[in-house]
Amino acid sequence: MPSRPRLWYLGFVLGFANFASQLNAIPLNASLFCSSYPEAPACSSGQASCQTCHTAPPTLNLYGGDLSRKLRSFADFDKSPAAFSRYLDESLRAIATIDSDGDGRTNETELAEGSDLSKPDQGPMPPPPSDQTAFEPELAWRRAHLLFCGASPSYQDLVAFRTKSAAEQKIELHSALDKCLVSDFWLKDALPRLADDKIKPNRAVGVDGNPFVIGDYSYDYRLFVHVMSGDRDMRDLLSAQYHIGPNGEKIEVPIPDRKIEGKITVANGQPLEPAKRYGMITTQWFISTNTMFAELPRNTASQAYRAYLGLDIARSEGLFPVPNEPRDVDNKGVKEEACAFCHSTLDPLAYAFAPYVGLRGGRLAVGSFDAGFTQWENWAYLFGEPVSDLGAWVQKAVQSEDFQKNLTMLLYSYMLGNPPRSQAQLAEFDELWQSLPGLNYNANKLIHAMVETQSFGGRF
Amino acid sequence: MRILFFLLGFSLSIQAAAAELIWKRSQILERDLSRALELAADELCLELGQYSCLKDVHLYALGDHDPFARVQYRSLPEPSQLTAIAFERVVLNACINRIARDGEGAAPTVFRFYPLQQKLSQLNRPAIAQQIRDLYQRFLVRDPLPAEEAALLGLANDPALGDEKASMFSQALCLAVGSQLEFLFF
Repeated sequence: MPSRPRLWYLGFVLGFANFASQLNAIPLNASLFCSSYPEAPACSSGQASCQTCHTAPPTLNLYGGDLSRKLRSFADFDKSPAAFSRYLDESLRAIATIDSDGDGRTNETELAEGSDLSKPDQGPMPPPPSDQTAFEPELAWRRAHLLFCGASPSYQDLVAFRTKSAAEQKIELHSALDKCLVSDFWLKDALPRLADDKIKPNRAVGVDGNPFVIGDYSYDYRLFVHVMSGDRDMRDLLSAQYHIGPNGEKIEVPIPDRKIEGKITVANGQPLEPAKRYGMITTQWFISTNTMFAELPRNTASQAYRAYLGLDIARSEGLFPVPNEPRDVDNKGVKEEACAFCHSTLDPLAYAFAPYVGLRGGRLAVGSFDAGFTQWENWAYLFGEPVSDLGAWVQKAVQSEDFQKNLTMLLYSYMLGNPPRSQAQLAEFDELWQSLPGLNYNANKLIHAMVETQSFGGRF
Repeated sequence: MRILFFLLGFSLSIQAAAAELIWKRSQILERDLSRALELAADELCLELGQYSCLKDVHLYALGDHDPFARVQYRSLPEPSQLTAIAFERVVLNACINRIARDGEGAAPTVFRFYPLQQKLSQLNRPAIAQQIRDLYQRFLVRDPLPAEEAALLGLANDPALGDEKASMFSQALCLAVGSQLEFLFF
């Protein structure tokens, strides 16, 4: 049998759903929390993270436990969104002066400090990087060399750089960056690594797998690098109807599977007709490894949601419950009260992927389109709004703030090593993702904008 | 050891000036070390003489991941305790390999300011100072501060080194400069 690396995740999702009744209204709560504590560092994005009250949802941390006990002390608290709206603020204030993690500082104090109030004996978090920085072209220039060329400039180059005026240094910064962005290091080594968590390759069953080959993820990597480089539009990650061949050529026709002598070749081409292709989320590998044997490809949808919109349903992110869902079209028991809340978002998210053929055998190749397979396509939703098919799903996705934020965060985290950590960095981050339409969604232009930020080139 | 702590303190105080420190992860560390010591990637460090320290054995500890063979899709978010050990081991191996090559050839590339076969007591201080400055320029792309240069010159007089060959002293010198945190964070 082929390896089934994604099935654990389905199991996890279904198992996790058993606790879902405890998660009612969590997205709402994250916002309500910040209405009570708008100045807290935990609310710098306007919405608290799940980890404010949970270790990993649905398990509550010490602070969340105290909050839960207070909420349940109200006789008519029934975990409904209305009940949270009514009692959350009052409950938060009631536990503000106690010390949930027993480290000697009240919850209120720790919230103001940005300290982790779920763990005892944690001191205050180090202060966020100062906002009082001055942009230094030399620092940005050296960093750009390292991150995009893979090595420091030479000492001699640095000496020459220092002889230039500030204006010339800025020009040199962008000139060096242009050269680095077409370097082998960036295009062949560093940039593909940014796609690993999206593509999730596995050599054991990839094109070099033995004996089973369930997909050739080199197509995925080539498409990712193509879209994220040159003058391309990053929205093509989800909307490209082409593939990139081994020599960089654009391929706009189906690529049939081919048999490999001595191996059990389940899939290794790109059989999908171009009109039904949607970039990275309909490659044969993506469908093969995520959908596998499922009738309703929940894993496929949740991975697309997580990888390209930054919304992880397993972390209670991006929940938009759809009325009358889940319908439990594949009889998995997800209508049970314990499962229904998360699946009222997840199942409608997945319907649009259902016609894409997984590892179910039959006459159709893995990753091809089977319009007659289900009746679910027209029930598809994204962000709580109906979409007619995967094409409409993608159009809505690439126009969303979540898509813009997610791609900006991908590059920001690579360049800074972490997400924004201060209000000033967050403000720069917001400015960057909001600038994407004006930059024609071009990754290189975004990188050029990023190297000019205080976050990247700021010095005390 | 005192000298290493001294240099570490300097290194941190210099780097603290940047608003954010960025970890030089394995892929970049490999290239930057290759550049600094003019060694090919596969000449830097091999465990058991065959497994790449940077691409394989210490890849994860040094901040990268192997998605294909090890099915690792994310790297460490921040350095671990193993990072420091792996980093020092890689730099030391690369230094040893560079010194071995420079000791063999007629035209040494990096350790070229004094004969590596000479005894430490036979070296003159200006030559050592030149080597120190060159190593700073190679690893850290800057000149040493006077105090840093003085500390490393003092290393030549450290009784612990005795009257070893210049090659042994050069190993200590190379490690002292190359394993500074300033080379690991930028």
